[in-house]
Formats: sequence, structure tokens, C-alpha cells
Amino acid sequence: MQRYQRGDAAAFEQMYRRHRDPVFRYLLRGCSNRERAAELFQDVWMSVVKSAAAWEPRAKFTTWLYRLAHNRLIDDYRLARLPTESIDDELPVAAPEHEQPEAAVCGAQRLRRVLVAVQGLPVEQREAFLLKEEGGMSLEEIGTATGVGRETVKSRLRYALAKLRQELGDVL
Amino acid sequence: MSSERKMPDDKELEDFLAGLHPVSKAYNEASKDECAPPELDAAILSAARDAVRVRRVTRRPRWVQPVAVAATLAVSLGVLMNLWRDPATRQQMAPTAAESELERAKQASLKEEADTALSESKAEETPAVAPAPASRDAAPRAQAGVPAGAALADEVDRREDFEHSFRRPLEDTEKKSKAFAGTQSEVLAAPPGVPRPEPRRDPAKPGTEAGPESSTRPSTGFVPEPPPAMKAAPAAAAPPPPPFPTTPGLGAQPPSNSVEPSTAGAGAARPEVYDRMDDVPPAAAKDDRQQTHDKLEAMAKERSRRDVDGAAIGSMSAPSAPASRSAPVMPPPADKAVQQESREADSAEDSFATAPPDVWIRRIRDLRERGEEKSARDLLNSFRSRYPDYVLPQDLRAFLVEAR
Repeated sequence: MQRYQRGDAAAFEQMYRRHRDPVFRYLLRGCSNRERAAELFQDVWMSVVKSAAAWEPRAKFTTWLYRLAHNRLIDDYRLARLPTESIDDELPVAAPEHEQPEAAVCGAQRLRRVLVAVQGLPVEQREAFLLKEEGGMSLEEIGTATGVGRETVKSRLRYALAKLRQELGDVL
Repeated sequence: MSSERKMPDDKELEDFLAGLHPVSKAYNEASKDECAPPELDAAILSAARDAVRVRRVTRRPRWVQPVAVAATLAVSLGVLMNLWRDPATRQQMAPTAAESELERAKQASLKEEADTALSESKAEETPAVAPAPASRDAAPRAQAGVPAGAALADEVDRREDFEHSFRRPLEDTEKKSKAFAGTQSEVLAAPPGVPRPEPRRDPAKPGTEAGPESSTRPSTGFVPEPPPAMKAAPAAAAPPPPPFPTTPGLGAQPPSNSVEPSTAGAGAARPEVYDRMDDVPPAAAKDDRQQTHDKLEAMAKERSRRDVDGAAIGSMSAPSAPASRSAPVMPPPADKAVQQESREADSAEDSFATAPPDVWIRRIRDLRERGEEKSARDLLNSFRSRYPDYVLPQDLRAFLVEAR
């Protein structure tokens, strides 16, 4: 980022390639809509470009980047008054366990169930989970990005893991 | 031991943070194929490059300001040099160049005259020795048998010609104005067709100055002939009257008590006519009718006097030009010729009044140099009334104080 501040456009491209997919997935899991996720993704990176001149290396660039993404998601939640739709229509809803045939326990469906379970988490827990999984952030960094304390992040992650374990106990 | 004491959730959380939790593995496996749309890459990367380019353009280097200052100075100096090289502009910037040239010529003639006198005195003492050169070309003439006095006379002739080349335009205008004024005043008593006599030459030997005026004039090598107006009007050299207050309706011409004897007499008999109308003390002895009559009469005289002064100022236009300004005073019905001429003089004065102040100043100085103190004073008063905010030069300020 400092190289980009000095005018090295190639440094920005390198940085973009590194964080592009995790940020997009974070947004996609957060808003449950690919089109909307693409708009938010573009907004986040445009904010990075505009704010690059004023950026100061007080924290990791990843933390700053996901904070921007988190704020965009919060704005989107406020606009859409989420959480109202917790499940993407494109994704097939997992059938109850007793209705599923034995073949349903195959790999593809298992993975989809994981994604559906993640999207079924409450917003705060899901964000903490996604920031850890997509951004590779520590508890402190997640707290900085979301504006809460470390223990709060810890608690949210605990609840999220417990819920996922409960939802996906048969496939894990 | 410590791990046994931990809550089960803590163990699970630690595994998750370490990336060892099965949920974490399952999620990574499920979402690894999700990628950002590639169509956004070009837009975002181009925006990033544009931002870098704009930042480079808007960043101003340090050397811009000193270079700008230096360029401004260079351009200013170039413009000034070009202006100074242009002779017309330089003449405008230094309007008194001709006068300074004249002064220089006078000083040179003084010096040369002194040298000549010294050399001649030496020649008289030692006649056997060849005469000292009176000037640059006096020695060859002396060797050729030409007397030193004749050489000096030629030298003076050349100086007079040089000086006349400066004075000729002013004299032409003066001749025009005098011819126009005609027989109006004693100042301009000479007929307009009379040619101006040639200035008398200074005799070769300094001890034999001709004329009684030589004692009062500086021996500058030339003795200009006083104009006929000066000879005919000794009253023109009278001490100057107090400055005349300007009256919008009457113009700004000061009184001239030497133009007409009747006017002078009236001025002496009734000095209050030169004051402002509201300054006139109440005449207890006269009734209002008589006072009004006196005022009208005084204003008419004043107007006729102004006509003469306007003609003396020197006209720059044809006398047949229509009068652009007329005083709201009824002239005396007796003399219609005087009215006509006064109108013409008004137009002449108006045409001169449109001249810039420098022309006025030059004209006043010229009059002073020729000894026409009264005309110079009148013109100066007119100039002051027309240009009250103009800062007079030092010499004219002194002249004004002296006139007061």
C-alpha cells in the first residue's frame, strides 16, 4: 500500500490480486446476493483507491480493507433491513435430515450445506466467522474491523461454532 | 493440565483459530471456487492507475515557484528595456529633454564665452603670440586672417539657431495668437503682419554690450530681442495682482489691470468687483439697483479682459472655430466687435485648454524665459484653475509664491 501511495500502480494490482477473492467471498456471504456483492466489491475497492493517499500504516492493510468491507455491508443491511433473507434463492435449501436420501451425503451437497449453514448465522456471528476464515484475522483484528472488543469477538465466534456444529454435525 | 481445565468451547475456538476445526475445513473446501467477477478487475485497476496519474500531475514540484518568480522578473525587465529603447516612449517619459538640452547649451556657451574672454585678454597682453582658440573652429579662422570677434559672432549665431529650433513651434503659436488678438490690447499692440525682428547679436567683445538691457540680462552669448509687446506695454511687467478666485460661470481668468486703462481705472475705483459675488460687502450707501448695475458692468469688463488673456495664451486652432463655452454674462451692448472677438478668444482658449498639462507648463516656462512675467502668471493662474490637483514643478511653485 505504501508503494501504491508513492505512485506504483503495479503494487496496487499485486495487492488487489491477493485480496480480491477473499473480499468478494466475505461480501457474498454477507449479502447473499452475487450481483449485490459485486457492487459492494467495487465500492470497497474504489474506496481503497480514493483513500489511499490518506492511508497511514497504523494497522494492517487487511484490517483496514475488511473494515471498509464491513462498513459497506452494514450500510447494505440498513438499506435492506436485514436480516430478512438469510438464504440465497439460488442455493438449494437443505432438506431435513430424515428426508435426505443417502446419496445426498455426497461432497457437493455437503459443501452446500456448509455454506447454507454459514449464511444462516446471525449477522455478527457470521461476520466474525467470515473475517476469520476469509481474512485470516486474529481476534484483535476482527475486533478492530468490526468495532468491538476482543472478548466480544471471542463470544461471537463461540456461538457461531456451536451453531455450525449443531447444524452440520451429521456431515462433519 | 491447563487444556483439561478449559471449557470445551475454548478448545473448539482454539482449533478454529488455528484452522484445525472441521467447520473451517469444510467452509474452505466449499468456498474455494467462489471468485470475484473478472469484469470488475479492469474497472478497479484502471481507476487505481488514473488516481496515481492525477496525483502525479497535481503534485507541484519545488522548483516551480522560484522559476515563476525569475520568469516574471525576466519578462518585466525585457518589457522595460524595450520601452526604454523606443525613442518615442522615452520622450514621453522625459518630456523636459529639450529643456535640459537648452540648459546644457546655455552652460556650454557660458563656459566658452569665459574661455574666449580669457584667451582674448591673453592675446591683448601678448600680441606676438598666436591668438588662443575661442572655440573649436576659431583657431583656423584666426589663422586664416578672420578676426576673433567675427568667429565668436558666428559661434553665437549657431547657438541662436540651435535655440530657435526649440522655440520655433512655440513662437509660431504665439504669432498666431497675437495675430488673432490683433489690436485688442497693448500687450499685443504690434500688428500681426509685422515679422519678428532678428535677435541682436552679442558683440564680439564682452566689454562692448549694446543696449541698456544687457546689464540686467545674463550674458549667455545671445541676447534675444524682447518682443514688441514688452516694449509697448511696460505695464505688463507690473507686479502681479492677487490670484483671482475661480468663478464657474466666468471661467478662471484672473484680472488684468494693464489691458485697458478704463478697466484699470474701474478696478482701482471699485476693487470689490474682483471678489466673489458673495464676498462683496453690503453697500449701504447704494441701493440694490445700483449694486446690480455695478456688478454687471464689472463682469462685462472682466469678460473683455478675459478675451484678451485668452488670446494672449496662444490659440492652437483657427479663430473661426465655434465657441464651445460662453459665459452666462450679458456683454455690454456697446461693442459688438468686442463680443465677436471675445467669443473667438474663448474658443481659442478652450482649444488650448484641451491641451495636456505638460503643454501648459512648457508654455508658462517659455513665457517666463522670454520675460513675459504677466502673461506667464495669467497662464499659470488659468492652469491652476483648470488643473487644481496638478502638482506644479518646483520652479513654477516658486513663481507662484513670488507672484502672490
